[in-house]
Amino acid sequence: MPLADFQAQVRGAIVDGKVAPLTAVLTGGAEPLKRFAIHQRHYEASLVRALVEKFPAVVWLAGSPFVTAAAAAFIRLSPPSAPCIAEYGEGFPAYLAGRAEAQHLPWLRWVGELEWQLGHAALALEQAPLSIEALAKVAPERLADCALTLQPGLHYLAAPWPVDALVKLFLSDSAPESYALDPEHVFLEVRGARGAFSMTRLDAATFIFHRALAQGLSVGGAAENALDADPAFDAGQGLVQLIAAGLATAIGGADKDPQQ
Amino acid sequence: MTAHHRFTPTPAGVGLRLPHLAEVVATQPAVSWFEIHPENFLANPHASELLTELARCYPISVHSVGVSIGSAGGVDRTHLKRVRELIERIDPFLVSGHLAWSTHEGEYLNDLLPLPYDQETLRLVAAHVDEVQQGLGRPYLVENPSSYIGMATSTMNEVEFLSELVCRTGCKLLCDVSNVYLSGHNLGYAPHVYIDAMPAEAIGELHLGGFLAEDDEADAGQQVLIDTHAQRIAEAAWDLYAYALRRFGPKPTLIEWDNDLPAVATLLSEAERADAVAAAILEPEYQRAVG
Repeated sequence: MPLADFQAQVRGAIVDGKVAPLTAVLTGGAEPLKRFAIHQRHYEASLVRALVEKFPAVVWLAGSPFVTAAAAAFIRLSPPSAPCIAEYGEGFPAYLAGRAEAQHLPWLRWVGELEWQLGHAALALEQAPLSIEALAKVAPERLADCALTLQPGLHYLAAPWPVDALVKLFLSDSAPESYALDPEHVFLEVRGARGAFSMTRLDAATFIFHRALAQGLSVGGAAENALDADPAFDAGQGLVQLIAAGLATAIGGADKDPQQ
Repeated sequence: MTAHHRFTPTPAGVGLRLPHLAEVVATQPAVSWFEIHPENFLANPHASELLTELARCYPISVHSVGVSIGSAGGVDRTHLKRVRELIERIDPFLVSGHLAWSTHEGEYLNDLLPLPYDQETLRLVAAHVDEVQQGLGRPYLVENPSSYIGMATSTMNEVEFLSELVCRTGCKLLCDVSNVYLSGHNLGYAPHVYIDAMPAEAIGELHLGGFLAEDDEADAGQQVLIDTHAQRIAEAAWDLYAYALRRFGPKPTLIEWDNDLPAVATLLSEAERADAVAAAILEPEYQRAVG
């Protein structure tokens, strides 16, 4: 049997549980398929553990049995695509939300999305911030065409539930007897570096402005998007506040090198 | 005048996992070297920064679990490029991986999966080892796997396969002594015979890791050994380590512990034991050799 065919069969056995084609191929022990089950168990146990450890607030809120069962199903639908398991699981919150058992937990997906961002923000390295003086050196007529590089540990999440409050409850290790959670659109800026992170609620226009800059839009383009959301948005002030908070690391345009 | 030549063993190192990283950087424990899995650092800039700092103080060995030299679909070149970037930053004294496969058509199966040992696999693995050595710009050590099953289609045994791989590629071998013991137990061959058959001149590193004995579901009264890396090294593996040292001579030896991590001190005590075993075996031979 060609090696590629053999490996396709092993993949099918590990991910989909289809072991029958391997019966004639394997040797070892009294029943080789039971030995092969060691590999099947390892695939499931190691990846389920990785997912559960990435979403501790989801586990805290929805319960370990539910999340573990969902993770066991997810790893069969969406195996990792690369060997760095830290990068695996971005799609898990959306999958979780689609499970029948989660229909009464409409906020759960957004808790997971926020946890994913917090986990990645904390792995980042903060860069030296762009100074106001560096911004002042850019000719005013060119500023709108410039793009900013933001801190690597910045992430943006717009959620229809105030899930930052739930995550803060989890992080504070306090569980109230009851907690009322009403739908509310929140616009969250997650910032992290070297093991630490923070969450800040922004108004909608500022959120759109920051997120657009993080996505690489020009200052002018980001300002237009923010003004669509709030005609009263002051882009100049927003830009100065962003620089003052140390969120940007470089500024540059299409025709010039970034300035630190 | 007769000079007393002082025996200098090749001291043991320990596997460094992320939960120990900050402590190790802060306390700089007395150990000769560390081995890391690059896959733990490539998507973690903070850990990578700490590793770069650590590499200024300790020799580092890079042991990949994701290069997948046995995949019929080829080596993951994107991953290989990322590993190379890390290697260029920390300049490890050894780079190694496994005789196994992990990726299939864009999916990573998070395990070191077995290969049939035949001419097709040998050609493919040899080509991939060549590619890895060229891609990384340095020699690559290939580790013998921990095995629970064999393949009916194999036409040579594992040592014959590894020996031919060395001949074709010039690669070195990483002899995981615990894997030799475990696989011998599980597949019914003598570990000492396996060690005897390995090409000693190609051995560049030794590994020792803990394994777990479980009841064999298919064979009442029998046990199967599972490569968990979650406990101390078994006495039988220590005995085989002593045997391997007599055969291979002093080699950098790694204590591997990946799951249910103990305190750093426990890892260091295992490394000290490896050093003591090496000294007991090798020092008398050395003193005899130097007269």
